[in-house]
Amino acid sequence: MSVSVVRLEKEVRPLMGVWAALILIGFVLIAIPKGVLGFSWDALLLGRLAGFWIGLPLVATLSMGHEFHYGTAPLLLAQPMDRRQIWREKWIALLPMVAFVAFLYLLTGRGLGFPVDAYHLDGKAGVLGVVWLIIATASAPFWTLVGRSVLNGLVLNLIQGFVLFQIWQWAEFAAGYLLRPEAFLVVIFAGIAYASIMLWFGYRKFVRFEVDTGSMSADVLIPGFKGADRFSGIFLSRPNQPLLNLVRKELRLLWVVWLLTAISVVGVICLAALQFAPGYSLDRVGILVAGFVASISLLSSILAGSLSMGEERSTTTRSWHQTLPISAARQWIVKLGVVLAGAFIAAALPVAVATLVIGKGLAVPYGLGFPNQNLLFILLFSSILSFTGFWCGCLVKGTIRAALLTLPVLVLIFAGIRVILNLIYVLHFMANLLDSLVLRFHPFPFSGEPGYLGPARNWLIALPLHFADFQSYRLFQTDAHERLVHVLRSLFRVVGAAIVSAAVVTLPSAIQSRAAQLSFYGVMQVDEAVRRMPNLIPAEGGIQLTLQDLSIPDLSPSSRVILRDAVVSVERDRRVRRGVVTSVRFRNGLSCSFARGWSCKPEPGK
Amino acid sequence: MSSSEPVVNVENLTYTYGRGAEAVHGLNLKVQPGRCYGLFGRNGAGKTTTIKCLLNLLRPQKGSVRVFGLDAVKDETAVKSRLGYVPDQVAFYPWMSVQETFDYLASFRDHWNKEIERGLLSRFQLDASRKTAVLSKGQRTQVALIAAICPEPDLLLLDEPTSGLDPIVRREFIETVIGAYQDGNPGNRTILVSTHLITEFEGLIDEFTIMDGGRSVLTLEADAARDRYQKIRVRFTDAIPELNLEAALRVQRRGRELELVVNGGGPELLARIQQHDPESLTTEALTLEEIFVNALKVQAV
Repeated sequence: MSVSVVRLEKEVRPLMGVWAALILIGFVLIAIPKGVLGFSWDALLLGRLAGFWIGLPLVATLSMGHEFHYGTAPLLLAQPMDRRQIWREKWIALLPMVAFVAFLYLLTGRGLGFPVDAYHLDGKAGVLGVVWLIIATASAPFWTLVGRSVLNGLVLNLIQGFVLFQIWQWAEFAAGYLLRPEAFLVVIFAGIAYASIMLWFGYRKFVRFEVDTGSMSADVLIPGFKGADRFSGIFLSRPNQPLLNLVRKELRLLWVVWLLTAISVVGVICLAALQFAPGYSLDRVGILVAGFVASISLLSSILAGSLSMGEERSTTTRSWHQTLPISAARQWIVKLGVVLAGAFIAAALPVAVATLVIGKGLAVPYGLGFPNQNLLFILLFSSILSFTGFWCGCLVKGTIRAALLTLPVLVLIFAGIRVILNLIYVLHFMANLLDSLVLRFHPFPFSGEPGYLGPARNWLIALPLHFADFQSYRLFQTDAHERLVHVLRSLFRVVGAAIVSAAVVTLPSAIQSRAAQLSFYGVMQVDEAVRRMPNLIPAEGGIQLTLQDLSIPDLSPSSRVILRDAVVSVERDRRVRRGVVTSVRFRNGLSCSFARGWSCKPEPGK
Repeated sequence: MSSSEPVVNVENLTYTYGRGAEAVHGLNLKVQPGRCYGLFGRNGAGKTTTIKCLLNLLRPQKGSVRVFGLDAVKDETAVKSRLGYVPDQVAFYPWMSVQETFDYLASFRDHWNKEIERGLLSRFQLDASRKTAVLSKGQRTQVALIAAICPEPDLLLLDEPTSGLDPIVRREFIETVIGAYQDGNPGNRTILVSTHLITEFEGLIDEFTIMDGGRSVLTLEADAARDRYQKIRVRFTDAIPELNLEAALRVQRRGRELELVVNGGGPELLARIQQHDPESLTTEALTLEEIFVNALKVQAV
């Protein structure tokens, strides 16, 4: 192997994990039809959006950032090679990888998350997406070298994206030629010019870069936002307050989340101001704000979970805390409590501000919006994301790994639930198998319409996460898993819990649903038998019959079991000419009637 | 570079981190070819900052840094192609095996001695197929040492190289590896080692600089230092007489015994002591570590 290949391989390897995940999402979206994937399809679409707007900048950030992450910047820069050559090799590795994913994603849909209709973008969304990607990729080395960590670089890059978007919006408004073709060309030209300048800044920064910290890896905190120190008084530890000091430490660990929340609030106010500009309808601004808040909330919730443990694992302060005379359970509860509260604040505060400034115009983006500004929904949404991030932080070492693992873990859990739901759906068609279960365990008495789980099935995820809750406590007390097999083992346990809990919850529901069907068929067969014998029905009042009286020849075996000892009442339905009401009172007291419709009610007093 | 020109020539080097945290202040350093030069100092003395300036990992804010007669900033690649470096905190790419790491680092070099690589791997009992992520701190340092020596550089920069090594490997490293490195091309291979484990390098060091608070406190050749810094033990038959001990760095009295540490001026002091006809009188050279401790004590006073 030639020396340049060895070096190129080294540059490609750290990007491979994220890149492969992005490619997988793209291929699955192309190869597997929507109907097969069900809810997972929506998750993948969300994954593709996150992949394009966050994943690809992350790949670009990792190119330089992995040297900080692994503490190898001094090793690389101490080698006898011109820094310009190192810079070139990094780009040779990076560019094809980013271009390939971008091409794949553009193939799977050109919208790329732009509210195409609201913007009348039509075919231009893809071009704008590519311009943004060029800017994000070209700027990534500069922001990574400024932030000196992968996460800092990524956050700075995303903030840059938001600021540029704001400038674009206001520049269009100020120039007064909103959405005209010339405006579109100006945006493209300005974007590429800006990307070139940032690329030059990145190059200069790299060539003159000084390794003034040790080789210690740090995701966020060690070299960080210097502004954080201004608020450090709030986070200062006090003597004799061990529990509060733990809380302060946790709040400090979530510094990036607070920063994102502040940016989100400011961003909402800036975007909301657009509603007063000519050409901007409230609906359009609502879509913008909702999309912005949803994406920042998604990032904040994942970071809230993954930062807390990820940072402590990276800086090895976790094992140091294990030696403190304070119980692990207490530390775990404080950590989890602050994470969930932090994620909720980070998600709810921008929504509250958005609701205040936009009102009813706030749209529902990507099906993940804020139905009626329901705080409970936001709490559940942020809790699921942040808790999954926290679980990942307990499992693996480092914030980046934990954050990257969060969405795939959620997709796997949902996929596990989906598999069971599909299986139970299949069971309906395997009537013999399900009927034997129904006839053995049929859930009589029941009342009302026996329903399937409906939309509530999406919240089945709460059960495996509850299992993961216990598991995270155990993981919290141990060292991070470095080997893939250990990670997979813990992951399979949670996915297994998802499968079991989905089965436990949905199987009785399926049995109940099938029991209702069989009851319906039974009563219908009785009703048909009654109608075949019109002479049996008196003109006035009603008559009580047994199954033997009706002597139904083709009564199914399941109906025979369900209708055993049932009493059949027949009477004239005076509202309909020659109408009949057939009622069946089952042995357990449930009474079902069949006339123009089907209804069941329990016997009074039972 | 002419033969008389120092391999490392640092003049008036100043480097400040952030606002006011001065790491190195006006440092002067000259390392002649073929020598083993020690940079001694407590934690935070500025040793690592100095070495990073030699490697252009940090840019001097004042003064000049020349290595092999070349500017360490302008001729960065030329300088680095002739030196090997072992950092204080060793980090490798965790997905690479030891062998892959060597292959990767060798890709930057014109020359890489495979025989040395195999020999040192065997001496340190390292498995080349193991991932660097699973190596202990000491093993990572061993890999870094091998990687620094295999290109057979003219200058070896060692920043706290023995921290994390067990005593057996540490001795092996100092006595054999460093010795073998210098013996490979006597008179031309230079070592600049920064450490506070001075005793370990006692026999190897030719010249040293003691740093404190970013400044040079003492620069001496090791032999000259041992001549100058002496420990005098005197035992008198009666009580200790009145003596002029102003020349002594340290004075310790125990009954009829007197222990003195002197920095130069030893013969005059000995002559004065002998006038009082002591029961016994011994002198011995201080170790480099004792010199280091005494130099910094004087500095603190």
